Amino acid sequence: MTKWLRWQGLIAFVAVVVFVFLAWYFLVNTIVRHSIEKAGTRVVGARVELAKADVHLFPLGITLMRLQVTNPDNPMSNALEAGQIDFAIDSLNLLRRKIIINTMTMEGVRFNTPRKTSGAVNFHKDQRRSETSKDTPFAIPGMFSFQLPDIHEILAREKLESLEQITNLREEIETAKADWEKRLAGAPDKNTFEQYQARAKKLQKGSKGISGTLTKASDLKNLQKDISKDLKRLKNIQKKFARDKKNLTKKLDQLKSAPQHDVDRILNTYNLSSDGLGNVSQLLFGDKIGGTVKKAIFWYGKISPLLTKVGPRDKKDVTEKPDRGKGVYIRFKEESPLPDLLARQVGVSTIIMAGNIKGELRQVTTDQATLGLPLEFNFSGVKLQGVQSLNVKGSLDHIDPNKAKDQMTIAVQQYRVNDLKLSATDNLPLTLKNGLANLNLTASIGEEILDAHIQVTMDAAELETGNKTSGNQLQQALHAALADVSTFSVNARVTGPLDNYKVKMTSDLDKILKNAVGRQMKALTNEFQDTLRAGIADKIKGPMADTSDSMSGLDSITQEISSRLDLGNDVSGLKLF
Amino acid sequence: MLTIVAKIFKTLNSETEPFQISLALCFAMIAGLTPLWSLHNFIVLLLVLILRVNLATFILAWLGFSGIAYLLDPVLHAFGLHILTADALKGFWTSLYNSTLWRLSNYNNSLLMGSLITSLGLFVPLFFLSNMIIRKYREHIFAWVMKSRIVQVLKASKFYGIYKSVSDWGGLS
Repeated sequence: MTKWLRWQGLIAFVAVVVFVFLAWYFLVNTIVRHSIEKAGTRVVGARVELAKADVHLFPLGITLMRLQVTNPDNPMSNALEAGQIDFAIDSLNLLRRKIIINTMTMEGVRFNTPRKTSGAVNFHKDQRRSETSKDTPFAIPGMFSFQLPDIHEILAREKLESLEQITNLREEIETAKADWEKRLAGAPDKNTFEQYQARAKKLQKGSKGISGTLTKASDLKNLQKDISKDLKRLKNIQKKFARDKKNLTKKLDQLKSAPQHDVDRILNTYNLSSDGLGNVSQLLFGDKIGGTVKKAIFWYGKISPLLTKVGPRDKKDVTEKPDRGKGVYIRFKEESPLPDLLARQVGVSTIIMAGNIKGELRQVTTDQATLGLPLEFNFSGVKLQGVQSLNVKGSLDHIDPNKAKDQMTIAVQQYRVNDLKLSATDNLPLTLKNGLANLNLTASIGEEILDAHIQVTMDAAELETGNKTSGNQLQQALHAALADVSTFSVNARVTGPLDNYKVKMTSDLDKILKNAVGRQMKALTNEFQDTLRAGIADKIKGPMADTSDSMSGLDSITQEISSRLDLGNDVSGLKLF
Repeated sequence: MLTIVAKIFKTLNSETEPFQISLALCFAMIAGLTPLWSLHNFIVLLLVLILRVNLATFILAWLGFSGIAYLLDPVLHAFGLHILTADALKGFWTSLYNSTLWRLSNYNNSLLMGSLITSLGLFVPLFFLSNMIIRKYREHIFAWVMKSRIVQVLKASKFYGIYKSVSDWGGLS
């Protein structure tokens, strides 16, 4: 037996095992910290840092100290920072490679905290740049103007439709004139009728006798027939020409209203109508709501793929070539299926400027399909500094990844707003100095389609509108109207695909402003309209006169046709016998 | 590294039983071909230390088989995948999957399964083959090699100095 065995080898084995265990024990904290930092950084696209990870064995659990998640859009600040995260891990399930956490606590969670060093990472830099440079998905129409635009500049820049129509009509008249002159050239004229007169005189002087009388009668009949035929031709020409001339005259009359169309079009282009005030809510609140929606969708895009991130479970997955030395893990049916990662209940204590908000997350997992339950969250805070109550709740249901349905509601009561800059434009600087806001938000995302409704009512509002005595009458009217506003509401509807949603906003401020400045706006519009009309009239005066002249040119054709007809009638009425 | 190689030569030429060297090769094959941090490798380590297996041979062969494993990775993965996805074995693998101990063994990893089945399958043939080769070496080749010119040259080298010093330690196996 001793030939085969060396019992001292057992001691060596124990020594090796103890060494491996000690090495693991002393390195595990670092390994866990690095693993979390690496995985988090990959998911977020910006640095995720952990001050310390402490793995404890009895009971098996981990304490994470100061987790910092950099904001990818602003690498000098953390999107989230957690003071301490504690959780115990189900040991038996860990042996089965499943991290099951029954209770986790996150203390001291803060948002938007400053960083000492940049948390940017290189691998998502280009992607982030393209994301931030993307236009906001809702187009804000041009701000209404408080100054009259320069008429000369407008007329030099704008293409006048009336001018184009006048030029076209003149060309049409000239073409018609040339055409009719050509047609008249081939029609019976003075010469033709003089020839008829000569023929008649000749007949009067012709041979006498029975045969002469009979011949004369036949020639006379032919002459009358020829005269009648030419007269008929001339009458036809006169009729057709009169019709063409009538059409052209009608077009010339219509041209008289063309300049007004130009005036209306230019007025709309330069937003010089009180309708421009109808979108003031979009101008004042659009950026803020749009920016918040954009940010929320960015983080939703980061989180939602994690809810369905499972290991290879079907044939398609396992046929993918794995990294060398890794292989793939084949999954089989479990008697009591559990996800690879599950935190059943996560208690979160969040610190915001207004105070502490407590809440919990339930069923946090990367494999909802296996768990069969959605992630649920509920946060609330009462009697906070400047906020009477705050409640956020919702669920992320990705049990069937193809029919994901996520929803969230936020209710904020009596949120005190101070010095909120709504507009920084020179035309209308507007700051909400004070106000009490009640906010209700309901949002749902189903199959990548967003539908959110935000309702804000503002009480005890005090709006500051800059210098009330400066600016024109219109600006002063706006200042006065806004200064009187003490309550208003804003409704926003955000709908559409996540990558192409639309924000539609309405507010009773729109109506208030429209009523307040309607009269001033009308006067301003009239002044501009008169100047514009005069400018256009001046510009088309010459071409219009030319066109009228061309039209008068057609009168000569009328006269020519009439004179030929008169001549024809004279010849036709001669007493030949 | 030279010391380990020298030790192997010393082992081959010494009174060490051929089975001790052959077992070292076979265990090294399992440890080398399969992923290092696997449960079964602790058993291999225990056996290597308890059984009178030649450690120098084990270490060098383990390094060699690790290199081979890297080259054979795609083949071993495909083989393991084939075994784990075979319909006939599905029930068996499923029952193991529901056992904590077996889950700990990572048996459901395609690379581990492919390499472990391969190394276990080659264990017995390699044992007898290497036994036979060592015996033949000692009987026929050793004397011829010692007389060859190349060995004469090697005897004048640094390597021979190491070999001699290892031989002087005596009885290491």
